[in-house]
Amino acid sequence: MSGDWQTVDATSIRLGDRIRAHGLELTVTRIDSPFMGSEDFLAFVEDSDAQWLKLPVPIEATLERCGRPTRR
Amino acid sequence: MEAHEPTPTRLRRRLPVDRLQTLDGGPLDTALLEGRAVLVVNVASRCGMTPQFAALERLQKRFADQGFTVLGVPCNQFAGQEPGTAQQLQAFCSSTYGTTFPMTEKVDVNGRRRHPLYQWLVQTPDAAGVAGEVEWNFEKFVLSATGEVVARFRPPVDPEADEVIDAIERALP
Repeated sequence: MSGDWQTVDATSIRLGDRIRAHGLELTVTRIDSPFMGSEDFLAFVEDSDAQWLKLPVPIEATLERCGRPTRR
Repeated sequence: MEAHEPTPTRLRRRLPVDRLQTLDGGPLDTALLEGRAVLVVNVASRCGMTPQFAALERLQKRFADQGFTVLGVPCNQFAGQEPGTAQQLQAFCSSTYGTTFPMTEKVDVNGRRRHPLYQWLVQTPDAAGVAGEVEWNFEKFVLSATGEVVARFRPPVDPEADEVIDAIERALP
């Protein structure tokens, strides 16, 4: 997906966000926390017709999010 | 006339592996599975748990003569940690870990395209009573020789942990 990608904190990601990290790209339909018992990780999941993919990241990580309209 | 108790029979369930291919593209030989205890495990070659391949191979060597096999199921749904081709994975497993157990083609274990084998497996709860989605690479299901799922172990459980060994020994024919 082309678009305006911004580097953001993992903890700022919300359902519906399009994100990319580690060469993977997904639309977040679920956020698992903790991940495998660890409070230090979040796992972003896309469960859609397009794919099922789980991407865990440390909670202090940053990743790229495709532009979301900002409030003015 | 003397009444006879019906002879107990252990019904053999047919595993839902139809149309499942091996890693090298041929049809999976179900004779490798039927009548055997099977440990089904989704695998990935770029995961922190990838060294579990070594323990899985030790299980294969330890129990194969008693009617047991590991069945490796490559899957790329967890952080894309199994991105390679079948040839790359085959070469990695045999050269790095000397694996001899059968491996299937790459499949989905979660989501709308989940393979029928996993549609069946994920109905089994783990020790905490939780069924459903495969959590991560290297989740293990132990199937009895009659085709029942007798145990489910989450990814961090070592393949040679006492509880896994116990489950395998109970599942043997």
